[in-house]
Amino acid sequence: MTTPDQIPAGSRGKGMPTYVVLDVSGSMKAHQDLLNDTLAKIVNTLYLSPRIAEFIHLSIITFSTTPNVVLRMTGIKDLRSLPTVDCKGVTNFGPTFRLLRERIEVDLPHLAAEGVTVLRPVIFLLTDGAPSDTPADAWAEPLRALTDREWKPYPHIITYGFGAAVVSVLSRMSTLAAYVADGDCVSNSEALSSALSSLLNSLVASAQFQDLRLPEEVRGFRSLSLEPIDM
Amino acid sequence: MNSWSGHPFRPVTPLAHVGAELRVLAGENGESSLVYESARHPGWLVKRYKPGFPKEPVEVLDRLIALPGKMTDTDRALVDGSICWPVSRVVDGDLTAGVLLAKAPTEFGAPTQMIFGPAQEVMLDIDQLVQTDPEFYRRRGWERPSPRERMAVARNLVAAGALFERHQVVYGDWSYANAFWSRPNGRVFVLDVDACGFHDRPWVESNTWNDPLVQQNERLDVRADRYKIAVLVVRCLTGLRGDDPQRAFAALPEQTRIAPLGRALWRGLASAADQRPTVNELHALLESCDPVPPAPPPVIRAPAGLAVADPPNSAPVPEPGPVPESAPRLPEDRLVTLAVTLAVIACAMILALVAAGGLVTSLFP
Repeated sequence: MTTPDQIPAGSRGKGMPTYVVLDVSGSMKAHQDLLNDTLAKIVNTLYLSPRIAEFIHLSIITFSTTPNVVLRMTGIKDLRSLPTVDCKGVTNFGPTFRLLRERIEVDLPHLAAEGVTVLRPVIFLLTDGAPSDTPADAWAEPLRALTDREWKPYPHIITYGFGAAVVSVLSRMSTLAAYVADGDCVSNSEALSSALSSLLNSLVASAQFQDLRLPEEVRGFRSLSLEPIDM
Repeated sequence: MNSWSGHPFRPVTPLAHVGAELRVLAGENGESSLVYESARHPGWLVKRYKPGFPKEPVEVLDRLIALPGKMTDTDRALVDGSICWPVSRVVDGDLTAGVLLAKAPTEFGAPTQMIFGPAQEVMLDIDQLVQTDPEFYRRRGWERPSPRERMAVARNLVAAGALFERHQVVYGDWSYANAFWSRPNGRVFVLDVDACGFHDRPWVESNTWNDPLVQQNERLDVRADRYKIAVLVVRCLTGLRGDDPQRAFAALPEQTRIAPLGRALWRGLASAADQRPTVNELHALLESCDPVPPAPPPVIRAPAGLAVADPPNSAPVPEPGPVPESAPRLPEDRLVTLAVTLAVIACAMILALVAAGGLVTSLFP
């Protein structure tokens, strides 16, 4: 599995900035309760396991027409509440990629200042829809900027798609792994549950090994081969 | 509670006989793909291995499963009460598909205030004990562990470690995640024993617990266990985390550091692998000493421009006190080098004295 590059050195041990990016467009309305329950489960897991929270520095971002930082990378130990997500709007990826780059610019120096040896950030992106950006490829340039290898803290991106997610788009957005739900085998709800469970397992395993660990398979999903990003 | 002594299984159990999933306890992690409670055998867990696991020949697991049957009654009682010992190998045809284990008793759980939703029963692992911040416990609705509790947990963990050592079992995976503890008696339940080996075992990643004298992917033997158990004890007693376990040692009270227990712990942490105390020795020392006060809580210190709390692992600790007599010894080859150097210097000085006495010409014509 990938060994994330180390960016600056620190004295508080290694830490992996982790962005969970959730599609909360109108089409996800049916799964809103499941989303909220699972988000709470992820946060509670980190809250109950200091060894995981020491390594996984979590931020949660939702997106539909516009993106929204639901949980800043402040550290679970300071967390007092987590807003619930409300699914509405369309699926605009461009503003989300721009926000991710902005947050990485802010969050990583903050972690380094706390003494964390910051590993390459990881983005877990879950979506059930095709991009609705206008013009249609308006998300491509923000994605290029986010994954630009000349930009030192460029992140790894792992995508989970289900419902109306477009396989070619997921492949293009992913830099490390892409999973798409097998619609013939599982419902959207089962796929989302499986993806979130896989994500949580990845966080736990990554913390154990101090390195990014991805599941070899996700129940109800198939892996996509990744295409090189046109730089 | 279910235990090795009371288990109803044969040494090898076909996968078809273990039943469906009553409740999933863990997903893919490490060597397992899934851990679930058997619907057919409630109170027993099925740990399914990923393909390629276990790494060791199945004879090792079979021998491990049978071992408590050859132990003394005292050791078997310790297994039954404190160790999640594998009871049966699960096979799918010719393949080893997993292992059957007792589910941890509920006494290792504690009602816990969550960030969201109602309080839940949460299993307490070492992660929850190695904390210095009173706020950590307050937020979860828990009493801060007393020195007596910390000492009881340390004693019971080391008792399990001493049992492994007596039976040439290498555990190798002492960490924050691999044992539960109960309140207020400090009983413990050691996990993941199915991956143990006899005399040695494959490397296991155990961040901040790795023996610095073992290269990654080398096999682990009892000496690595002795190091990790010394780390475990200083962390349990002080609550201090971090990359450097010697900081936790330094946080012990001076009277503990200079006492036989402190000297043994220091040898476990800082000496050559062969100089580390046996687990049995450490166990006897722990049994004979009083509880020690834990490390002080972390101090809040905000870096310029940032409002952040100091992490628990950077809590200030006193500098190490007087280093016990058994402080790290020089390796043998360095001792030889040192002796040769001293001999050369001594010879040179003698020659200089002799030269001063006018005898050089007779020695070097």
